[in-house]
Formats: sequence, structure tokens, C-alpha cells
Amino acid sequence: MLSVLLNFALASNAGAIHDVIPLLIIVLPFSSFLICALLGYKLKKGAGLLSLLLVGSSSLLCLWVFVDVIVSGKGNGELIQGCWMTIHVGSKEAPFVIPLGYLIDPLTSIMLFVVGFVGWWIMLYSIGYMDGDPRYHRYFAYMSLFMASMLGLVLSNNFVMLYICWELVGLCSYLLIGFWYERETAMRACKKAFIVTRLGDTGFALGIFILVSMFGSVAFYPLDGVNGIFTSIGRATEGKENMLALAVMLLFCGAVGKSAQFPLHVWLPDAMEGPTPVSALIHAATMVAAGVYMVARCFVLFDANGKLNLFGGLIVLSPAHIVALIGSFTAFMAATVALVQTDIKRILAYSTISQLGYMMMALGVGAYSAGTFHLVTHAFFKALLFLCAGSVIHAMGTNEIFEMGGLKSVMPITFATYLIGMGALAGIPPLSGFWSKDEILTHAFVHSKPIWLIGEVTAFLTALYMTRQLCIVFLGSPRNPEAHPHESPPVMLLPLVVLSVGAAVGGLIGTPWMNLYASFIIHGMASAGAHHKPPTAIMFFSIAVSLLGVLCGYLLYGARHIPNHSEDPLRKLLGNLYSFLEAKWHMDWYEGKATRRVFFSLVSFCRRFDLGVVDGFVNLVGWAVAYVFAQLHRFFDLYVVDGFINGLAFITGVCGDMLRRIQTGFIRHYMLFVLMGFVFLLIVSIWRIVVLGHP
Amino acid sequence: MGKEVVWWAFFYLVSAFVLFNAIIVVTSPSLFRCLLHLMLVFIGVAGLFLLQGAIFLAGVQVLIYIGGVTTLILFAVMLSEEVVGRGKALISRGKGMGIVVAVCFLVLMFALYSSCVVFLPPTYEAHISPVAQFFAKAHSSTMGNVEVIGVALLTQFLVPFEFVSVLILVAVVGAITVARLSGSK
Amino acid sequence: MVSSMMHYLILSAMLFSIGIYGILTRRNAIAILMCIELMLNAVNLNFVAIGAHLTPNQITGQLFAAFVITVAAAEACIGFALIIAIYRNFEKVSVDDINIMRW
Repeated sequence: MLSVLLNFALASNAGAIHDVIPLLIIVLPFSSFLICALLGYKLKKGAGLLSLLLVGSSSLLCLWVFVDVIVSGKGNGELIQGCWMTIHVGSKEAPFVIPLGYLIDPLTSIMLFVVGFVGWWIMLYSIGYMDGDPRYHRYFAYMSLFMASMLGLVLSNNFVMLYICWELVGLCSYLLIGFWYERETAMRACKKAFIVTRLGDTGFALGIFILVSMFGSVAFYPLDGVNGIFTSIGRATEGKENMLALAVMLLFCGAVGKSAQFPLHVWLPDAMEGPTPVSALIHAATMVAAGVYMVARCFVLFDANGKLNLFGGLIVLSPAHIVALIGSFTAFMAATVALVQTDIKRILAYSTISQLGYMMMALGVGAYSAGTFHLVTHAFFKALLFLCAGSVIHAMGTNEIFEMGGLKSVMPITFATYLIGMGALAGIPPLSGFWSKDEILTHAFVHSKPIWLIGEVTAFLTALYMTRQLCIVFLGSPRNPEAHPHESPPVMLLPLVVLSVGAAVGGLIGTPWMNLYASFIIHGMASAGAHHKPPTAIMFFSIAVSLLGVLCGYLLYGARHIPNHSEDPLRKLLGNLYSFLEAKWHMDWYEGKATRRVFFSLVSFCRRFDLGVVDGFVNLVGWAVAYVFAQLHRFFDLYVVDGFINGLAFITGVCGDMLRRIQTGFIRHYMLFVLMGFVFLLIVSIWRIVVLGHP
Repeated sequence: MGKEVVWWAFFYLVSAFVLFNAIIVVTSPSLFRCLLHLMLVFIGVAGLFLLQGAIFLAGVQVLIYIGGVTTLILFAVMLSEEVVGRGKALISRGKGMGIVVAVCFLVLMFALYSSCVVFLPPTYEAHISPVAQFFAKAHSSTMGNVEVIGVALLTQFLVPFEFVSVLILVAVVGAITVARLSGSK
Repeated sequence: MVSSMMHYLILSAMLFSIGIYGILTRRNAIAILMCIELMLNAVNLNFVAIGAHLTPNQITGQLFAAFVITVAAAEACIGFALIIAIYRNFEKVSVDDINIMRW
């Protein structure tokens, strides 16, 4: 018995931020999507401008919200919630309310700023990049839809809305990866992306179900009489630690899928088949960060007493441990694979996976502010790097780094911005990436030394492969004499510059001595990585590691020119290990053939079972029944019915045969019969008179 | 009383005559003799009718049976040509069965009559003896008179009378048709 | 005294049975017809006797007997015509030998 009552309950405790602004933030890009999708073929070039306009206004609203939260200081200890409408499902005895609305706390506002700002500049970039594409308007429709869903995801105040927007961004990713659907590789990639993230999403949904059953609500914080999950942890989870841990692990499954952690990381490198701005926005800055965002949002759950007791108490894991483990392993693995890639975008893709691993690692060891800070800075410099790569691809027409070279002189602005981005990624102070990465490593050192070690090794590798890429692509001399690269048009260069500014100086809000970011982001989270006065030694150690990586990279790749089609110097160095890395730790093989074989064998088994057993049984029953009934019917028809009719005829014949002998032809016999009959009548009449008394 | 005796004497005489001739009719191998004795039976029956007071009927009997039927049978006998010389063919068969059935019938009739005696009306004994009737009817209009019969035929029994006339006509025509020489159409 | 009706009835019964014997016994078709005439006469006797004794004021009995005589004559006529026709076709009138209309 579902009684769905929709009532617009505009109950909120908002102050200056009205209910309508978050709604607008989502609705404006969504309307852009609708217009571009339905009328885009008429607008053509105008589609891009229109979507820029609408998304831009949404971004401005995001900015406004962000500024408002900072200025009015609402972030500290307070959160702003509102509800656009409530959905009542369930019966009268067991009512269940889903309050669809928005939630604005510092995390939300920061994410709004990042998504809005970076997203808009990338859209501006794509005006130039996608110029001349026949499906121009569709691209902007999908991008607007993505913006709307991502903003909705960030603003959501309950798991249901979060999940819906989660799936929507997955959908947009699918649509945009397969944007050039004439290409076989693109189609395979988008399917792979969707399916792999779907696996994670299944776990996510299961986790939500368990949480709902435990807490009786989907909302994060209490609102209008609805329980908030995060605030009712203490009393609802007494003695149910296993269940809570299980739920949290399942939630993390979703994050693993969406943020491309091991083992669901395989879709992200293939997702590079899409246009470069898509890679920049979705697969670097924002969508893949959604997983990290979700873990950050549910940080209270991760940090709760949930413990998984395995083997009857032999091994006690808490979800945070698992998050950290997976994150660090992913970071390390992806960095090693990035080292041997030859596609410019693939290098960046693996780099993204690695950095996402860093963020997860941070959240796993409890460094809430460090993790989210890295998310912010990563968005800036990774988007920047992707856009630069897009610039290069646009100029060179190829993705392979060993066909490029010496672009420094030809594309100076691209080179400069790329340099800034690379430095931020490698962790060179005072660029933004250094501050966030350093904070993570510091927290890791305090909480768990092995994880810190892995982090440092990964940092070294990161610097190494980024330097490699820089040297091969931009330094040296051109490898392809036929290509004539040129600098990109201004519409593409402007976002590069803007983002590079952000990548350069953005980190300064989070320096250890004056961590504005941390104080901003933390409100009432007791154990969210309390400030430790960092041992400065760690910082210098990290700097040393990064510089070492850059040096090694330069030595290997930048010192002398490596012509095209020649062996990578690293191959000599690593030997067999190189081929292992080149095969991506053999994960493709693992995921490709084996699963296909398993799947097909399962499918064929099901098919054989269905045809043989089920259909066979049904056919057998049908045949048996039909046969039995047919036999019965035949028997009845043949012997009873026909027998009756034939019997009648037979009896008639026999009687006739017997009776005809009376007709002898002799008159005398006939006369005899007559008289005998007469005699009989006489007897009858005498009998009547004598016996009955009357004639 | 004397008239009674006469009547009864005549009755027994005539009935003996009839029965005797009837037996000869059914047993004679010669067809001619058969016919002759049949004629005598007819005469005897006419006499019996007279004794009962049915004078017109007796006349009709003589006229038709002796005058018509006997002549007819005579013609038939002559035309069948079997009477001369081939007396053997007339030897009858199945006498036993015949006697059995006849006797059976007789016995049964006796039984019937005796059992029906109780149903006779009570005034039966009281009516005028037919003997007296017979001797008194020479010139009186009593039952059996031609006049009475004629009146009845044309009033009460008109329909049967007409039917019978048609019947006779049909019979005659039919007989002619059947017995005609097949050659002539 | 014994009523004369009963006498007549017994007489006619005897005549009738003699006729029956004749029908069952005789082989010649003409003879059979003659025996039928016998039977008819017996019937007439019955009619007249009963009519005279049980319905003395009505002439029904005698008249019926008259009709019987008439019909008997007609029937004898046709019968003998048939016999002539049969004789013409079969050259004999013995009923034992004429049995074509059989099964």
C-alpha cells in the first residue's frame, strides 16, 4: 500500500539562502539540457552559447552560496537545510518519508564552487574544442545535464536523491564517452564504464538499504521530524557494529566504482575515448570525485564504531582501514602503470586514478580536511592538465606522445600552463598540489607508517611519470616531421590560464601554518583529523622525494632526445617488470577473457537448463497429457461410440436375418400365422373375462 | 309346443346337412365335388337364415352365393384346367396342424361362450320366442321383412350402402383388369 | 330350455373351424377360397342369430350379414380373377408351389 502524497513542504531553517536558490542551481543547467536536446538542431552554434549562459548563471549562484557561507559564518556548527518536497511512501502504520531537499554545509559549498567554476571554464573550452562537430548541440545538452546532476548530487540531503544523481552522472558519463559513437572503441569503452560503475552502484544501493533498515530514514540530518542518519548513530547502532560496518563497506563499493579504485578502476583509462573536455570535467575533476565526496559526506559513518569481525574475531577491520588500504594500493598501482603508457590521455587517466587513491587514503586515515582539500586542488590541476592535453591533441591530431615533441616553442602558453599543472601534481611547492598532498602524507605518517611509505613512493612515481610526459611531449625536437602544430585559439587558452592560476595559488589557503581550509571545513566533526602540528621533517622529505622524481625523469627522458619508435629507456632499466606494468598488471586479461568465459558458460548453462530441463519437462508433460487423452478419446470413440452404432446395426441385421425367414412365400404359412394370432386374441379375451371379470 | 319341436327338428336337420357338406368341402380331393358341396352348404345356410326369421337375407344368400359365387368359382375352376385328371395335386398336406388349430379354435369358442353367458342381458329370456315369431310373420311387418331392410338401407345404413356399391364397382373393374389377357392393352 | 342363440353360435363356431381346417390344409388356391366362403357364411350365421336374439327391434344383425355377403362376393370375384392370372403365368394353382414372393 503505497500512498504517495506529494506536498510542497517548504519548511526550512534557511536564512539568507532561500529554498529557491539551490533549486535554481539545479534547474538552470537542466533547462539548458532540455533546450539543447530538443531545439539544439535549430540553434547550432547558439546551443553552446546558451548552455554557457545558463550554466554560467548556475555557477554564479554556486559562487554566491559559497561566498555566503564563508561570509555569514554559517558553516561553523550549523548547517542549512531545506526541503522542496516530501514523498510519503509506506502505509499508515509504517509511514516512511523521503524529504527531497538540499543541504548546505561547508563541504557542499566548496564542492559547489569547484564544480561550478571548473565546469564552466571547461564548457567554455569545449566551445572551441568541439567547433565543427556535427553533433555540437548534443554535446552541450549532455554537458548541461551532467552539470545539473553533479550539482544535485552535491546538494542532496538524503541518500535517495544522492543515488539518483549518482546514477544520472553515470548516465552522462556513458553518453559523453560514447559521444563519437561511430568508433567501435568508444562504444566498448562507454559500455564498460557504465557496467563497471553499475557493479559498484549495486553495492551502494545495498548499503543504503541496510542503512534505511537500521536507521529508518534516508535523510542525512534531522529535518521536519525525519530522523537523520548521521545524528542517530549512537543509539541506533548499539550492538549492531557488524551491520553498520557491512553497510558502510557496501557504500564504499559505490565509491570504488565511481572513483575508479581497485578493482573497479578498469573503466577510467578506456573512458579517454571521449572528447578531451569530457575527460577533463567528468573523469578528472568532478564525477570521479563524487565517490570521494560521498565518503566525505558519510565520514561519520566511516568513523563510527563499526567493525567487521572476520573469522570470529581473529581479524577486526574497520571500514576506514579498508578504505585506506584500497586507496593506497590503487594510488601505487596506478602510478606504476602510468609510467609506461604512451597515450597522453591514458597517462593522465592513470594519474587520476592514483590521485583518487590518495584522497581515499586520506579519508581512510581520518584526514577529512586533507582529503577534501586534495579533491579541490586536484580538480584544478587535473582539469588543467587535461585541457592542455586536449590542446596538444587538437594541434597534433594524435594522442601518442612518441609522435610529439618540441612543442615548447610552438605552443608556449600551453607549455606554461602545463608546467604549472605538472608541478602541482608532482607536489612541487608552492603550487597547490604540494600543500594538499603534504597534508595527506603528514596525517598518514601519524596514523599508519606503512601507508605513509606507500604514499611517498607513489609521490616519487608521480613526479617521475609527469616529468617523462613533459619531456617527451614538449621538450626535445619534433618527432613527426609532417605535423604542423599551432597554438590553440584564445577561447581554448583562456580556461587554461584561469585554471593554472587556481592551480598555482589555490593551495595557499591550506598551508599548515594557517589552515583556513581546515577550519572552514570542519564543523563539529569531532574526530575529523584534528590538527596536528606537523613535524616539518615530513614536509621536507616529501619535497625531496618529489624533486628526486623530477630529476630522475629528466635524466631518463629529457637529457637526450629519444627518437620515435625507439625503445623506452625505462624498459632497459626495469626489464621484465616493464612488461608487467605495460600489461597493466595483467588486469585486462583478467577482466576480459576470464569474466567473458565465466559469463558465457553461465549463460550457456542456463540456456541448456532452460531448454533441456524446463522445456523438456513441460514438453514431456504436455505430450504425456495429450497422448493419454488422445488414447482415452480414441478408445472411447472407437469402442464405445463406434461399438454402439455398429452394434445397433449388427443387431438390426441379425434380427432382420432371423425374421425374414417368416416370409416363406407359402400362403398356408401366412394363414397359419393369422389364425394363430386369432387364437391368441381369443385366449386373451377369455382370460380377461375369467380373471379380470370384464370383457 | 308343437311348433317348437318342429322348429327344433328342422334346425338340427339343416345344421347336420350343413356340417356334413362343409366337411366334404374341406376334404374332397376333387375340385368339382368341392364346389358342388359348397353350393349345398349355401343352401343349408339359407335355410338356417329362414329359421331365424331373416327371410330377405335367405333370399339374398341364395341369389348371390348360389347364383353368383358358385358360378364364378365354376368359371375359375374351368379356366384353371387342373381339375381334369390331376387329382393328385389336390391332396392336402399338413392335416395334423389343421386339425389342431381347428379344434383349438372350437374349444376356445366354447370357453368364450360359456364365460360370456353371464353378460347376457336379463331380459333375454323374456323375449318372444323366435319360433312363435316365425310362424306369425307370414304377412306381418316384422323384422326380416324386405320393406324394413330397404328402409334401413336407405336411411340408417345409407353410407355403408353407398360405399359398398363403390366397392363392388371397383372390384369388378379390378377383376377385369387383373384377369385380362396380358397381350391386349 | 336351451336358447336357440347358443345353438346357432355353436353351429357357426363349428362351421368356422371346419373352414379353418380347410384353409390350412388345402393346396389348391381355389379350394382355399371356397373354404373362406365357408367361414364367411359361419360369420353371417353368427350375426343373424345374435341380432335376432339380443337386438330383436333392430335389423342391424341381418343387415350386417347382407353387407358381408356383398363384400364376400366382391372379394371372391377379385380372388378368382387373381387366380386366373396366376394360372396363366404359372400353369398351376397349387399354393405350395407358388412361393416367389419370399425372402
